[in-house]
This record gives sequence, structure tokens and C-alpha cells, in this order.
Amino acid sequence: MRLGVALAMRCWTQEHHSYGTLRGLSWVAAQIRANEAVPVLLQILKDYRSVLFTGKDDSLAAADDIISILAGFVPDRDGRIETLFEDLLFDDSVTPTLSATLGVAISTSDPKAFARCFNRYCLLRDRVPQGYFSDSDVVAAFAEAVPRKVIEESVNALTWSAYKHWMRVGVKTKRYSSDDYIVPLASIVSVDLLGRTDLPDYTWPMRGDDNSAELRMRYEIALNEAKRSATHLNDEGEAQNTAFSALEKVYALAQ
Amino acid sequence: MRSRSERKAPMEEGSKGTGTTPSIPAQHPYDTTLRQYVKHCKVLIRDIDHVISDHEALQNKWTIHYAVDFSEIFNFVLPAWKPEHSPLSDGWGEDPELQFFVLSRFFAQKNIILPEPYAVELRAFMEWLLANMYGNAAKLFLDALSELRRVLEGKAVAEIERLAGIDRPLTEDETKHIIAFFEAQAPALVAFVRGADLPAADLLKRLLRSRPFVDLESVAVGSADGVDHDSVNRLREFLKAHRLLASNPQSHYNDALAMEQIRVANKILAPHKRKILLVSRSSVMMSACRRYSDHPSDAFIRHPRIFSTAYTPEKRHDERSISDLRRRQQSLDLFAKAVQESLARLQQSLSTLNPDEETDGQQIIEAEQLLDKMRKDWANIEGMSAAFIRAGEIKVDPGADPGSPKVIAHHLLEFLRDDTRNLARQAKQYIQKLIDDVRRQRDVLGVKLQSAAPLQTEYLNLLYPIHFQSKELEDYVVELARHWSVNLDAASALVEKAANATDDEYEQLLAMSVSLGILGLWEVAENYAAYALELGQQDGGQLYEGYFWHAVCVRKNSVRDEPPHASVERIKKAIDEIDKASIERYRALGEAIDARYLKEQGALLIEWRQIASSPDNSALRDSRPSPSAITDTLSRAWSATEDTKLRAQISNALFYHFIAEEDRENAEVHRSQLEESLRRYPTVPSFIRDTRVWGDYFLSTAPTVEQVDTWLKELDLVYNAYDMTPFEKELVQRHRIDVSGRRNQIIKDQIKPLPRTHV
Repeated sequence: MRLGVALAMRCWTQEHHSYGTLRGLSWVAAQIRANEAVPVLLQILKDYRSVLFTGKDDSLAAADDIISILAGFVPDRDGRIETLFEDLLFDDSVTPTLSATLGVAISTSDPKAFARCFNRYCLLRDRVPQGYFSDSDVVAAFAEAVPRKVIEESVNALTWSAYKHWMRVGVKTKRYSSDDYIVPLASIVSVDLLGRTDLPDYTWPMRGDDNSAELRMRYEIALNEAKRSATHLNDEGEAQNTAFSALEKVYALAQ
Repeated sequence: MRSRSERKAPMEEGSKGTGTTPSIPAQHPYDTTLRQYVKHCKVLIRDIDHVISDHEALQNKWTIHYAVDFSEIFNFVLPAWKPEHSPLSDGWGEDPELQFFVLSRFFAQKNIILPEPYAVELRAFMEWLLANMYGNAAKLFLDALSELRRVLEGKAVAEIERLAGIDRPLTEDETKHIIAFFEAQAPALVAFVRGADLPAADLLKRLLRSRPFVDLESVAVGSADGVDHDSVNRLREFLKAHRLLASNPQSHYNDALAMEQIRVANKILAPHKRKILLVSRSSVMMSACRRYSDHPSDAFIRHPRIFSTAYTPEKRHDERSISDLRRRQQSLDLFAKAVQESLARLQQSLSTLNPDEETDGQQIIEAEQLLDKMRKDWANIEGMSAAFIRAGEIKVDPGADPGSPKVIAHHLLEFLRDDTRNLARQAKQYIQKLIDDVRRQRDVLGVKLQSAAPLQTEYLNLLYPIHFQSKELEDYVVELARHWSVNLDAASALVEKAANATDDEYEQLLAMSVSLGILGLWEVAENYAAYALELGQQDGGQLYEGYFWHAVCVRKNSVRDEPPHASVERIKKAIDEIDKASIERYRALGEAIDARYLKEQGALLIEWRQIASSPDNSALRDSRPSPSAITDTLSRAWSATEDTKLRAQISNALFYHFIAEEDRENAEVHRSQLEESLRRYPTVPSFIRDTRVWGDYFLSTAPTVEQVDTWLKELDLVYNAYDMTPFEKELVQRHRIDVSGRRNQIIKDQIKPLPRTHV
């Protein structure tokens, strides 16, 4: 059956079939984990690249699906998926909306590519309408794909805005299926444990050596997180935002 | 949060910022000691200056608001961590517990300003603390018990014992007398009774529930907006340059920002005769404040010791208290000058190689006489007992006002009222509290997972029987150890039995340690085992089981993200304890071999080899034990026992060992042995479940994706199981990464490029 799906996809042409058909076939291939379909999908992306990534909504949706499905097949032994993804991520003519999927997929295969991919994602993120990406989901996906140690070692390779974005979103995003924050608040303001080794002590690495702009930025991120407003329903059932001071949030936590 | 490196030696405070102290060469034996005194005297002179000038400001109708540095909250919540020490009794530095009392007195004031940077630090600290609830609370309690023993052995206890026996409420004088007695004899015990042993998170929550803090903006509107960032940077640079050891740059920034906010606030408030004083022990912040203040009187940092009754009486200052302060200040000043002068002369005579011994000796005697006088001045002050004012108490039980002096005295006497004066009876009460915490925690976890029932039986276990002289304890513990899971109530009952079944304190505390180990509270369990051994060594009993159990505790008491060299040191320490156990056992019974000891040693050697074999730890590589040493130790353990449960553990260790060594053939053999040993048990501990999955993964030749998914799911469950130590969790994590990689590999292998002919 898997081979059959792959063969059916290989017969797909833009001239004779719809993008809906391609998407349908791709998802069938994903559901039955038809690995045989991977080279076919890669070939389709190459053959129709100019149409798929810059075209109209239906072609973009197909491209999005294929990218997502291929991302599930990395790491690729021959690196074919990664090579194509890298090419697409850094191609300015490709729609920026795919940058998160591409970046995460590449980083999954090669964690050392994290800084390069995340920088690129942050650059492209500014080219899509605000709110298009779920910042928390994207950062969590990168954090899942890349070991924390590698991320920490990459801070100097991140652009300033990418670094800031990672800290800002990471401090309020919990890692998937775990209680850990991606950037724990205490790691920004540094709980000092006086050398005790029996308790976890952890500081998020600085980019520069004692750079005042960075220190101020870290403080502001920590402050915003410490006084993050809460949304709740009022008596009329309407969502309402309540702003708290950092101290009020501390009191709330102590209850 | 600032590095506290600068605070470890308050004597350093006098050395910065004054610019008036003549340098004293450090070449004479008296020099170092006396110089410490002189420096500390200067700090105390400064603090008395502060008290007097603040008092004068109040008399001139100024209003003073206190702000607090986060580090004071940190020190209050974790009183045993790096307290300040002083070379003489100064109402603060002579005792860590005293610092806790003084801070509790300070925090009892309302409307203390918490500048925003410190609120952020506090918020982060809370987040961190709540994730690490079980601190080393047992240490203080053990100190308290130790002190109680000492008190009871002392001669001056008769009057206190009489008071313990009276059948009526205590009078004020009696209360004062009891507290003063215990303060002098057993400050840790007093601190324990007052609640200093409360887990830090609880203590912090209790503090915050009284809402002692307010925002700076509520007192001085616009202070945050008026901050000059150039000033912040200047202050930050100063702090960075003057803090002695490497500290976190973010702490410098937060401190600098808080100081600048208060400076701006004081400018706003000054026309209204109001000012804010920041309470902080940081000498460098104090120096920075002086350096960048327009006028010395603008310096707004105060050391927390000024809230000690040695400086600020329970009631407000009056003429008498101020003149007393002045007199003490003069004696400090006199001493400092006399010592400086005599040391300078001494130095001069040494340098001319014609020492006038008599003159030198005379100088030193004079200095010592002055020092005695000064000590007397400080000893005559009201002392610690006045710190127990009602307003200054942190309430241990809000319903019963247990913080009042009478209740404190009552609790202190309770220790004496125990007829047997048995440490374990008191320890029992404390450990039961921990068990209640575990019970609550488990209930919460049960609700979260909606599976409270399986948790009841799943996560508590006792790996080996620990043997006791007391038959009741022996039978009970052996029975608990027969099964793979232990009920929480059974662990709790062991604490009761420990207190009642025997009078031997070593056995009592050892049994309590075992119950704590069953609960997975390994840090506390290790403390109790160590204390049991300490008592046992004094009494000269047979301690081999104590050493063995201590080794188990040391192995289990690992921490998250433990550095590899620390792990290896921990393992070596545990192996040493097993060696001691074997020697003691040989002395007592004429035989050293015990299958449990060998199995435990084998498990330690496996851990050691695994850590040292990691490519990241190449420096440890040469020290690692050989595979044959591990196989040999565990094989001897196997031969030395018939016990099915112990054999299952030995098989598990061997199975794990052969997987790690990639020896498929032997791994197969020991998997079969393990499964055979486990046949009669419905549940097994998580570390064995981990080995099973890891082994299945290792031995499988062509697993399907579904199979791998089942393994991953099982590893997730194991990782989150309560009975896993941080070190064991790390191993599970590594296994998960490998298994997960295998999943990707399987998927990849299934992808085969289609030949062109198929199209």
C-alpha cells in the first residue's frame, strides 16, 4: 500500500491534478508512514518549487503540508531532506511562513544549525503578519529539537533580536511534556546558591561580558514576566486583563 | 541575586570607603587578630552612627521608611547559608540563629519597601524554591538535638528542670529566664523551636502572607521614571569592581538599579521630611552609596544588625539608650585607636631589629585590657531575649500564637519534660511532619494524574533489609524489605516503632533514617544515618548496618545536574562506607561477606564506570573500575545469597552492566535471570523497569515503530516516577534519547529510493 501511494504521487502533475489531490495523497503517505513517498515528495518540491512556494493559497497550503510531512522523516541518512530544507529556508523567494517548520526540522537533524536557523526564522518572522506564528509553540519546538547545552553555547551566534526573542518567549514557555521553563526566570536573575552542590543552580549564559544593554534587557524581560498580566472572566463572563505589580504577583504566589 | 561572596567577612567592611585608616603591617603574631577586631570596631562605630543619626532625624520630625535588599529575605529564609560572623559579640554576628531572630524582628514591621528589582529577584527565587521544596531542614534539627544533649549533661540545668516540673503557667521572669538560659546554651534549639527549621518555602510563604512589603511607587510616586541610567551604570561598574569574587553581572545591575530608584525617591521625599533607608548587609553597596552621595548624611544604606536589641531597644530609644550607645561607641573607638597605635609602634620596633620586649608586651596588655572592657560593654546589653517580642515573632501556628515568649519557653521546656530525654522521641515528631508533607504531595500528584490508587503502592520501597538489635525493629524492617513496595502508613509506623521499641539512640535514628529512605527523602535520610553513626561511635556499639545504610543513602542522595567529579566523589564516599561496614561486620561476626554489601558496591562501581566512560569526562577515564571488577563483585554477591529479591537486584545490575559493555550474550543470560527472579512480584521499582526497557532496546534486532513507541512511553513513566533519584533520572533521559534515535533510524531505513523503472 505504501508503495502504491508513492507511485500515485509520482503520477501527480500540476497540469492534470489539483493541489488538493496532492495534499490528500501526502497525508495518506504520512498516516501510513510511507517512507517510499519521501523521494517522490522531494522531487515534487524540486520540480514545482517556483510555483509551490511563491504561488497562491492552494499551492502554498500544499507546500506547507509537504514540508510538515517531510519534517517528520528527519534525520535523513543521506541528508536529502535537510539539504532541500536548508536551501528553502535561506531562499528569499520562498514564503516566510514555512520558516519555523523548516528551521525546526533542520535543527532536529543537526542541533548545531540551531543558531543559523533560529536567526533566519526571527528575520522572516518579521515579514509575516503579527500573530501568524505562535511564538511559544515555535520556541518550544526548537527547544525540543535542540539540547539546552547546544542552545546555551549558541547565544553568541544568535543575532541580538533572535537572542531577545528567545529569552522573552522562553521565559514564559514551558518545555513540552515537562515542567521546565525553556528559560527559567531564576536563571536570568541568577539565584546564587553559594557553591552548594546539592541544589540546582543555573544561570542563563550572557552574550557579552557584562554588557549593560544586555543586562538591562534581561532585567526588563524578567520584570515583564514577573508582573505578567492575568486574563480572567469578569461577572459578565467577559475576558478581562488585570495588571499586577511584581510584588502583587509575589503575594499571589505565596497564597 | 548578588553573589554573597562579599558578605562572608564583615570585617572587610571597614577596609573600604573610609580612606582614613592607617595601614597596619601584618607581621606580628598579634597583628592579624587585633586588626580583625579593629576593622570590625569601625563597622560597629559606623552602625552606631547610623542609629544615632536616624534617631535624631526622627526627633526632628522626619519620617523614615525602610526598604529591604532581596538578599536579606534570602538570608532570612535560608538562615543556615553563609551567615555573617564577627570576632566579638555584637548582637548579630556571633550566632547565625541570632541573625534569624533580628531579621524576623525587622520583617515584623509593616510597609517595608521592596524595590522593583528585588521584587523580581524574589519572584524568581520563589519559582526556584517551590521547585526545590525539600532543603536541608534536618540539619538544624540535628544540631538542636545535639545541643539538648549537651545542655542535659551540664551542671546548671537544675533550676531549669525545676521550672519544667512546675504545674502552673510560667511567670514573665521565669519565661525570660528559660529563654535566656537556652539562648546561651543551645541557640540552635531555640531557633528550631521558633520555626527556623521550617522548609524555606514555607517560611517564605508565611512571611509573605503577612504582606510586609509595599512597592516603592506607593511611597514615592515617579521614582522609577526618574532613574538616570548613567547613574545606574556608574553604580554597577563600582559594584563590579569592588565585589571580591566572581559574581553575577545581573546582580550588580539589579542592585545598582534599586539603589538609583531609592536615590531618586529620596530626592522626591526630602522636601516632605521623609526618607527611605535601604537595609542591606552589603559593604560594597554601602561604599558605593557613600561614594556617590552628595553629602555623607545622604547615604541611605543600613546594616540589618541595627535592628538587634544591641542597637535598637524593644521600646523606642530614650536618652539613656542613646547615651549607652555613645558610650559603647567611644569604647570601640578608644580600642581601635589604641590598637592601631600599639601595633604601629610594635611594627616600628620590629623593623629596627631592636625590639623593646617590655614595651611591646605592655602595649599588648593595654590593648587586651581595652578589649575586655569593650566586651563587657557589649555583654551587658539587653541581649537576645528581648528579640522575642510578640511583634517580632514569625508564627509557627497562626491559631495558637506559638511565637510568643511563653509558648517558646513552654516548647523549650517540653524537651526537658520528656522523661527519657530521648532524642529519637523528639525526632519522631519532626519526621512525622515530613511524612505528612509527602502524603500531601502524593495526594496532589494523585489528583493531577487522576490515579491516586496506583501511586499508593507504586513508589515507596526498601531495597534491602537493615538489621537491628531490637527484635521488634528487626522483624518489622525485614518484613517491609520482603516486598518491592511499601505503604506510606507502614513507613510512618516505622518511625513510631523506632521511638518506642528501643532506648538505643543509634538504632532509633537509624530506623528513622530507613523510614526517610523509604519515602525517597535521601538527603534527610543521609543526615539521620550520619547522626546515628555519630551517636553509635560515642557509645561503641556494633555499627556495620549503620555504615551500610549510610552508603545506600550516599548513593541515592544525588542531585540534579551533579558535576561528574562530584558524582565520582559521592560514589567513592559510599564505597568507603561499605568498606567500613565490612570491617565492622568482620569484627562483630567473624565474617565480612554480605551479599547486600557486595551488590551495593557493584551498583556503585557500575555508576562510576558509566560516568567515567562518557566522552565528556575523559579526565576521569583512567580512574574507572574495570568491567571484570564489576562482574566479579556482583557474581560473588549472587553466590552469597538465596534471597529472590536481592538476586533480582543483582541480576538487574549485571544485566545493566552487560548492556553498557555491549556484551549481548551475557546480557541475554541475565535478562532471563532477572525475569525469573521477578516472576513472583506484581510490581517492581522504576529503576528495574528502566533496565528492562533499555535491555529490550539493546537486544532487539528489528523492532517496529510501535514497539519503540511502547518503550518510549514506558521510559516517560519511569522518568516521572517518584522513586527515581536525580542520577537515575539522568540515565533514563539518556536511554530515552537513544531509543528515540532508534525510532528515527527505523523510519529512515524504511525509506528506499524508488527505481526509475517503477514510474
